[in-house]
Formats: sequence, C-alpha cells, structure tokens
Amino acid sequence: MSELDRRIFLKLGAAAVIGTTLAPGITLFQAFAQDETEGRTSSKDRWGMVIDTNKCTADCTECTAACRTENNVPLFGDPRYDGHWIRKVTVTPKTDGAHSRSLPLLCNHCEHPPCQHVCPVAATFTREDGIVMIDKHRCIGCRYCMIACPYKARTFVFKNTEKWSNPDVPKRGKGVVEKCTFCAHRIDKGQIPSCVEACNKSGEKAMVFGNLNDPNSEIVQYIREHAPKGLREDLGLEPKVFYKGI
Amino acid sequence: MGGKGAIAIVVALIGLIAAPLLYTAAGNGLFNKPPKPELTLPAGGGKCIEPTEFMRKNHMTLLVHVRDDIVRNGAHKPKYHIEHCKTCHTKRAEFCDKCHNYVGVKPECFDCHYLP
Ligand code: SF4
Ligand code: SF4
Repeated sequence: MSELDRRIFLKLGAAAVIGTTLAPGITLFQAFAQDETEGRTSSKDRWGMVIDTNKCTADCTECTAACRTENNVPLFGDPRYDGHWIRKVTVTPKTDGAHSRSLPLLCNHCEHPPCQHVCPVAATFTREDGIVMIDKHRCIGCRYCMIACPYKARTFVFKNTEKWSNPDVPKRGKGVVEKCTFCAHRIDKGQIPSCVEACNKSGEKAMVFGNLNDPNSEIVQYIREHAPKGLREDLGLEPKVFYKGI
Repeated sequence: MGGKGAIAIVVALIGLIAAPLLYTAAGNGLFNKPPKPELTLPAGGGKCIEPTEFMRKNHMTLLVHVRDDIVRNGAHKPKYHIEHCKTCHTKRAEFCDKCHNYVGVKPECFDCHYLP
C-alpha cells in the first residue's frame, strides 16, 4: 500500500471507530489511527551494493562470519540444515581456468523479484526503499520462492536455532524461508549492513553500500566510474548488487 | 403416569449416567479453580499506555498491528512498541508467561524474539 493510500485508510478507519463500543469492554481504539510517516521507509531511498571482486580474497570470510553473528544465521555443522544469507563462491571462466574469482553471493534485492511474484501468501514483499523481505510471520514454508530465485539466495529453516548471537535480531523458527535483508534493521538506524562494515574493517574494502537514488552517494560515483555489472542481467530482474571485475 | 412420569425417568437416567463422570471429574480437580496468577506491579510506578483491563483484552491486537507496521514499513518509531513494554515489564517469566500458562495459550513470539 502506498503511503497515501495508507494514510487515507487510517483516517477513514479513525473516523469510523472513534468512540465506538462494540460490547461492554470491547472498544475499538484510536491506537490504529496513528498517522506518523516519521521513521518509516521511503521510496526516496534505493539501497544497493557494489562488490569489487578484484579486492575480494579467496580465503577471507569476514562478511559471512559477520552476517552469521549479526543475524543469527545458524551453522549446525550439517550442510543439509545450515542457513546462508551470504556465501563465498568461486567462479571460474570456462575458457580460462587460471583466472577464477572468489566473491560473496547474497540476495540481490531484485527490482522485479520473481520470489515475490510466486509467493502464494504475500509473505515476500518489497519495502518502499526496494529491500526485498520475508515476513516470517506469514511464510508458510512452501519454498516456491527458493525455486524462483535464480541466485539461490534463499535457504529453508529446517531446525530451530538454539541461541541468539544477537538478541536484537529475531532468529527463525523452523518451517520458514530466510535470506539476506540488507540488514534492514541496521539501515533503519542509519547504519550500513554488517557484511560491508566487516569488509571495511578487515582492510579489504571490497564492498560499497549506499543509496542508488542519491546522485552524490559513494556508490553512485563508484558505479559511474567503474560500471560494475549485476549477475545474469539478461534475466531482466535488475539486481541491486553489482560486481566489478567479473 | 403420563408426561410427568416420563420426564422423571429421563432425568433419573441422565443423573445415573452423569454421576460417575462428575465423580471422576471432581476427583481430578476439574471443578477446583486454579489459583489466579499473582502479578506484581513493575517497580518504579510507571503508567501503562492503556488501562489494565484494556491491555488484558487487547494487547495482542496492538502487538500484531505494530508488528506488521515495523516489518512491512520499517516503522521503528511507532507510538506503541514492545520496547516500551519492556521498560517496565522486564521479565518474561513474571509478566508474559504467568498469565499465558494460566489461560493455556502458547504464543510463538519467543521462539524467535528475545525477551529475557
Ligand atoms: S536475489 Fe533471489 S531472493 Fe533476492 S530478490 Fe532476487 S529473486 Fe528474490
Ligand atoms: S516459502 Fe514462504 S516466502 Fe517463500 S513463497 Fe512460500 S510462503 Fe512465500
């Protein structure tokens, strides 16, 4: 629902319910009529990421480790159950085996996300700022989205995670699908995703994150200068994670 | 005899059938009300966002509404937020669990969300 629709909806709702008493003790209340756009996601933002594969070293796992800690992504020691929000892959050109590259692969937050289109219960949705998210309260675990995603960005939660490594972020109960959220909870606080932060800290500085709608942002300058490419752009999904040097 | 006699017989039969059931039920304590959970007011004497009666009946509706707004719209500054609850009601075992156990509901919130 757009912001405007929402506001009208809330206003109408408020007009209808103020002071309505349905039965003794059951009152529809005004809390539903809050009209605060403050702090909400806005379509003015478009979050994106660039990864410089020339700088990403093969044995570095700073980003994946940071993601696991930040988002409680479990490792059970059994590849059948392990969750992955960001994973390191090695790509080797068919023609030239010597020039393989190591790069992190994560949800591309596609502008036209096939995962969202196939979701039968609208659990997968795109926020106003372009981040594709899963509402785990709604997800029924049908796994259509995992089949639809060409980047294999999603994993199914087969087992409950035991502990929170970061209590501020919920873990997942079994039976839902999970994937990268671009650390939406951090973005809402004005921070950058924890993988990018970890990469910067490690000194590799292979990741740039920022607002694609802001012409002065670092990421836009970077894209102008280096023209990085999205993965499988031929699919027309307009991924918002770009790779330089592939 | 007539109608009255028939009714008397039916009532007697129902009583006969029900007696052992009621007896067992009473033996199992089904008629004893479990002790009401005793809630202590949070220290500090703060005031809840709504009256207790209201919150008792409607806290779940409030929480779901706020939840959707946060998940879908990233609204991290809503008027009501579970974080506000946590400032006074710090312990889940004291605050949430006592009543939930009493009424026998098992919300799944805490499978994923952290509340000590
Ligand atoms: S990368 Fe996959 S999961 Fe992410 S938005 Fe695109 S299709 Fe969906
Ligand atoms: S697994 Fe969940 S998010 Fe994926 S399509 Fe099914 S309901 Fe939607």
